[in-house]
Formats: sequence, structure tokens, C-alpha cells
Amino acid sequence: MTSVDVIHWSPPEWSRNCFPLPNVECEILDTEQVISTLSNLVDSITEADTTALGAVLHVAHILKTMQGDDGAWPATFNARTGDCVGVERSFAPAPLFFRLNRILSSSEFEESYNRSVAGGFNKFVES
Amino acid sequence: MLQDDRINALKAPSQEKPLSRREFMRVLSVATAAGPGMMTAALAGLTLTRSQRAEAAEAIVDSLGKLPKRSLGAKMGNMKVTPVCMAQDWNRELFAPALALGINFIHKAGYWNSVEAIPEEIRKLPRESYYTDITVDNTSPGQNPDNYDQAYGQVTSSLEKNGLKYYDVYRAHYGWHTPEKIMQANNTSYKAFVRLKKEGKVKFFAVSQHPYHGNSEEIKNYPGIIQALIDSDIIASMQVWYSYGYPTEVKDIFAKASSAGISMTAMKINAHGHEKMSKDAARMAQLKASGMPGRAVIRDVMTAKRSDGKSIFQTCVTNLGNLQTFEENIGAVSPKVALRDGFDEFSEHFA
Repeated sequence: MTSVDVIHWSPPEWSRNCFPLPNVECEILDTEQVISTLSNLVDSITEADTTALGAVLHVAHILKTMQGDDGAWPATFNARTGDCVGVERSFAPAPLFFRLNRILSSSEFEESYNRSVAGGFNKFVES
Repeated sequence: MLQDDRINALKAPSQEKPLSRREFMRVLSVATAAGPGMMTAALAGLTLTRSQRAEAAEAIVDSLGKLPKRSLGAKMGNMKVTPVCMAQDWNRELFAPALALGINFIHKAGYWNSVEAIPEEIRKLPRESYYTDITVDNTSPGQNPDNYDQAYGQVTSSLEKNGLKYYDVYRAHYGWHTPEKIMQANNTSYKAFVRLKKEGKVKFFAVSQHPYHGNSEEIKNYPGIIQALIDSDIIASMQVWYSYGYPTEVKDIFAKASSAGISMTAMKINAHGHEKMSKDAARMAQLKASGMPGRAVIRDVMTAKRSDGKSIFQTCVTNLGNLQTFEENIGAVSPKVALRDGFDEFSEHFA
């Protein structure tokens, strides 16, 4: 099971700070990989312990700022500088946003999720 | 020691089968004997049922005692809050002990999307007995800060959904990117706020000013933005990223805002300071929180001082997910725990 403690997190000084890194030297991140790690963290929460959610929400807040007018995100980016790498786009954060809204009975990521849907993301239905 | 060994022996079996009443009471008595702010160390590794966790939480509340409340100043109608606030995204089990300790401000309450989304412990309270804020997102990156309808509509539609009646604080989420947008005459959020205030839906105008990074949202002159917020004279409260290890120039500009009478709330305390603090044993020892980086970062931030010796921050907000982090973090601002720890730098907050 993924735990907050075993993940390498990007330094607070970085543009995309406190993002999960594949290893300490890595600064080029794949959005899908980031979301996969965050989703595993969400899987790890229990009624008694939602600590991992704090780390996920921090990243999700910053991901909101990275969403483009097309409702999508850069598929690859430099976490230290914030620069996009390449032109490929991704909707990987959308299902996570949907899930966070549901878990927290929240509207915090609703608008962002709706922008993804408007941008062409197939409406996500969690089983 | 014998007692501790007995508790250790219960850890693995508790994963499979709940502790009996007798076993749980034995555990609780050892935990209570550890003293204020130290209880959850004895509970670590044990799997407790929901009712056992609730009982442990009550014992933690008893050991921490009531938290002090501090005025947020004249700009905030002398609203009094505890040095740590709740947040809408906390573990739901922690709202009851937080309320019992006297914590009375809920950050991001405006995101609760239905009446049922609000924890029952809060729903049953008189609305006037606690404070809330709504983080309004027309100022969020990717949005249009001049979208009046979005700003006004988010407040009114959320109130219709969650039934909170009003928010005490209208907080422009993420803040502004340029000084021109902050000025009262150009500030669309402020115009929406004025109407909402007349309608009794909000009371005070505030900002959660994020220091944007990166190519699309960069603010090269963050202190310049904070200065513009001070000069605007429309901001009653500022919530800002601040934690252990932040640069002096950031601390200095927040001190300036605080000196101008703006109520100051720190956020990202653990996200940005926990790891750094956990590697600084000397600073943790100085803050009388050895081995407790969560407690140390809160003490570090809440004792950050202006040039006149007063604290920069009146309160702070941090995400809490379990009883252990609750006790570690909230214990930072408990007078009983401070006394036990020998931490005497909180006289201003405890006055």
C-alpha cells in the first residue's frame, strides 16, 4: 500500500512543490504517473486515518492552476520550473477531481472537472 | 513497562479483532498517564473501533483542555478564534474533539455541497456559535477575476445548497496577479462582496493570496502584491503560505501586513515545513517538541514576530487526518501542553 512517508516529494521551493517524484533526482514528471501515485494514496485512506488525503489535496490545488483553457493538463512537465515539456495534453487529473469531490462532499474541484468534460474528457463514472 | 508490553502485545491482535472493553480501558489508562499531548503515542499501532476512537478523542480533549481565543482585530469585528482552525477537508471524526476544545472557525466551509455534507456535530450548533469562510474561485488561475456573476453566484448557490445561512469571511481564492486588480475601483471580487454583505450573506473581505510559481502564473514580485493588498485598505484578513524555513523577506512583508491591522492566517505549515523541521532536532528541542515536527512547525509559525514583538499570525490552518496528528498539532497551542513541555513563548496567544 502506498504511504505518504515512502514517497519522494518535490521541495517546497519548486514551482510544483510537494509533488510525488519517481526518485529524488527526477524533475520531469508524467501527469499520469503523478495521478496514479495520488490515486493510490486516496486508496490508502480509512475512516480512522485520512492523512494521505492532505498530501493529495495539496497537489490537487496546484493541478487546478495547471489546467489549460482546453480543460486538459500538460502530459509532461518540469516540476522545478513549472514549464510544460512537449505539447501532449492529458485529462488524467479529471477522475481524481471527481473522486475528491465525492469523498469530501465538496464542490472544490467541480468547476475544474466540468471544464475537462467540456474539453472532451469522457465523463468518468466510478464503479 | 509491564503495562507497555501488554499494550504492545495487543497491537497485532487488534488488527483482526476489536479490543475488549477491559483491554481498551487498560490502554486508555496507560495513554492518559503519559500526560497532556502525549496520549496517542500509547495508542499507535492499535486498531480501534469508531466508538473507541471517539472515547480516546474525548480523553485527548480532557488532556489538552480548552484552547485560548484571540481577537482578529478591529477590521474583523474583533472576532475571536483559536490559534488553530478547522478545515472542511479534515477527517470527519476530528470535528467533534475540535469543537470540544473550543475551535470555532471552519476554513473552506463554502465547499460543502449539501446540508448532509456538513458534519452533524456542526449542523446541530447554533449558526452564530462558529465562524466560516468561503474561498471564492473567480480569482483562481484559469478563471476570470472580473467575472462578477461567478463570484456572486458561488456564494449564493453554495448557501442554497449547504444551508449555512451566511459566511463570516469572503476569501478571494488564490488572490490576484497584478496590483491593478487589487485596487478597490478595479476589484470585481470586492464589488460582489459589497452586494453580498448588504444581503447578509458575508461579513468580511479577505484573500487567500498564493505565491504563484511557474510560467503561466508567476508573480515575480510577491512582496509587491502583498504591499498592494495592504495599500488597498479593503483587505481585513489575509491567509498566506508560511512555514518553517521561509525566507526573511516573506516573513517581513507578512509582518508589515500584520502591523497594518490585517488579520493573518498561516497555511501550508505542514506541507512546506514538516520535513525540514523533522531534520532539525535542535529547533524541535528549542520549541520543546522533540520528535514532533507537526507540533514544532505550528509553534515556530505562531511565534514568528513583528518588529514590535507581537506575533505576525493570529491563527493557522492545517490538514489533519487522524487522532495522532490532531493531538500533535493541536497540542502545539494548548496551554496545558505548553506548561508540561516548558514552552513559554505563547504568553501573547494565551493572554
